[in-house]
Amino acid sequence: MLRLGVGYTQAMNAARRRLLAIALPCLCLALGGCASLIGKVTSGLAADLSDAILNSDDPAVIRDGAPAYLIMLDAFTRQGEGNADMLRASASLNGAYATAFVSEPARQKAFAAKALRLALRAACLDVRWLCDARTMPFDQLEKRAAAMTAADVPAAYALATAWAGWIQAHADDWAAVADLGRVKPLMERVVALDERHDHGGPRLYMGVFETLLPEALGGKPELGRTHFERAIEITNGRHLLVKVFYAESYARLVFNRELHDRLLGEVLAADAEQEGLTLMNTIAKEQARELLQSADEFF
Amino acid sequence: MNYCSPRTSSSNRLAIRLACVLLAAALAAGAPAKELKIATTSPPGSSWLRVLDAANEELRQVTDGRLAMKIYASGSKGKDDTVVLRKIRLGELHGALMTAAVFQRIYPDVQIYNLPMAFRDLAEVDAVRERMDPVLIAGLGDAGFEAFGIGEVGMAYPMSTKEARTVADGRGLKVWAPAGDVAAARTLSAFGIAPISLTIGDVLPGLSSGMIDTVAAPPVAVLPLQWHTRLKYMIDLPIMYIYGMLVVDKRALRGVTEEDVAALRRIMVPAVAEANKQNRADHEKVLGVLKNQGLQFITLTPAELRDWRGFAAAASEEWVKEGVISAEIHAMLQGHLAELRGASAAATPEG
Repeated sequence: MLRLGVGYTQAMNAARRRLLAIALPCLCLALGGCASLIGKVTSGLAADLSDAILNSDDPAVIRDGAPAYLIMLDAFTRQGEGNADMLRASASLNGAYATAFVSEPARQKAFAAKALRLALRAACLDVRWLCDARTMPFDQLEKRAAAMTAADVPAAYALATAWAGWIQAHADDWAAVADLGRVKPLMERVVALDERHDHGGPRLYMGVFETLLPEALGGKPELGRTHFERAIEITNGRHLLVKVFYAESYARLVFNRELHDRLLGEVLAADAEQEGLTLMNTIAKEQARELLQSADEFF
Repeated sequence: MNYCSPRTSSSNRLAIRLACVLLAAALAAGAPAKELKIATTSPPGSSWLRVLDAANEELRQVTDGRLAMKIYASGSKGKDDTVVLRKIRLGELHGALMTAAVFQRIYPDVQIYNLPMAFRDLAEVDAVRERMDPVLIAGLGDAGFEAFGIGEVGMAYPMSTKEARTVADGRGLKVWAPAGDVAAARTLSAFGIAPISLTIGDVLPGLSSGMIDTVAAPPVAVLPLQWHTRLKYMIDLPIMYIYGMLVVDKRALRGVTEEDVAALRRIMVPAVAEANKQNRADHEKVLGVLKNQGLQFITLTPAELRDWRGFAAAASEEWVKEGVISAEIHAMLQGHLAELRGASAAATPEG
């Protein structure tokens, strides 16, 4: 018989907060994917464009310019319906753009839903059973996920990230919250198969997932911490968003101000410029500043 | 643009800064600022935290920074209510969002709504609470706690990985009871079920490993904790009403002016009521989602229902006999229920 603590029934909204901006790491993967694919069509122009975006240190310019790129991707995914890589790239970019630059909830939901649709289409093409990942019994999903191989990583990772983004955008919907448990086994397996995928993205996501709830409610903050630490190790500390999420998701959860301020201090002190990560690192610095500003109030 | 993903909106941050300025001004003017340290297991960003944060901001402004709360979220001041209560007694904390069970030694009667199968539906809950909430709030007051109202979590339903319909079926299951919850353990014992005690955090791993296969919990809790991923059946049997309270140790309010305490009540009471309302609204939605997630709902036959109610009545008697609650508060509840159900049902108030 359960007489629950008052607070944790409300955990769904906490999940939304913590997942905030988690789609950002996918930006790199999305643009990388676009570059290689579109490049074949447009003789390197797209590749140059992607490099320019990823290595930009001006998020405002990207915010204003990216919609044109999204429209272009829509055109390509329409033409290349059977191309899983292109669908994944479009899914990731739609998700990342919405999380990073769209503030209206209704538009965020629309972007996230589109990203999930695209990622699911891509997953269906590459890993057939993933088509039914949203509806199959949980124990079946868990078994299938555990049996995935390295070849399934791109499909599973893209689906899991788009799904997490969709849950984030729909956190006011209980049906979305119910899906969180389905995303985690996919990402757990991706970590086991290729933790370095997308600049350590699988570790970063697992770090966030494990710190969504406090330990008292079944969260695993210390396990989350090991994921964050590993993501830092993999990227030699150059993926600054990892430290931002580490501070926000873990250090704030366990009320470790010293760690929180140290991580964010490192982000601010670091050079944002890093091949393929400059844009995200610039955004990370902005986030670090925000978090430090609100630290006194929080701790 | 929101690429910096602020945790609060610009207007909120502005309001917070404004509040800080006001607080600083108050401090500079020599006004004594009292900060109530409040603990909760709710994580930042949860509905409860948002309700509390908003109320806190209003409190700061209304009292010109003389009175405010410092919220310790995520169980950072204690993973269970017993620890938190001990810290309140020691003066390390001033208050908390608490379950009724934690008051079993201080003011046990506040657990009255937990009585097994006391209510047949939420309409009964509302009617009884309207009459009895003030009694419980006053009782907590006598026990030294300023309570700002009761917040509904929801009705707990039995959910399992195995199909079960009757009490006899239940005895063959591995049923979870929250660690330290004496009343819950006693209730299960009255049903002839030997409970397995685990902390809330260990429930999902317990369901995964098979250490337990059955829980009784409100759907609005099961879903965010992802327990539904392991459960397959839910008996349509509201077995226990679950709720909590926001309380502050009255000793912490010594030295605070009557005017500021009045402001605290004026702000916090509607805040708790709002959280209560929000949870109620979520209940029906969650039931629908659980069905869509594949949970099979089991509807009992009248005979099976009578069976459960018979044992629940016995369990309730046990609560009174064992002193979990007083005979007086039990009689009060039964009186209200009897009145609600009409004279014909008065003879069997439990069922």
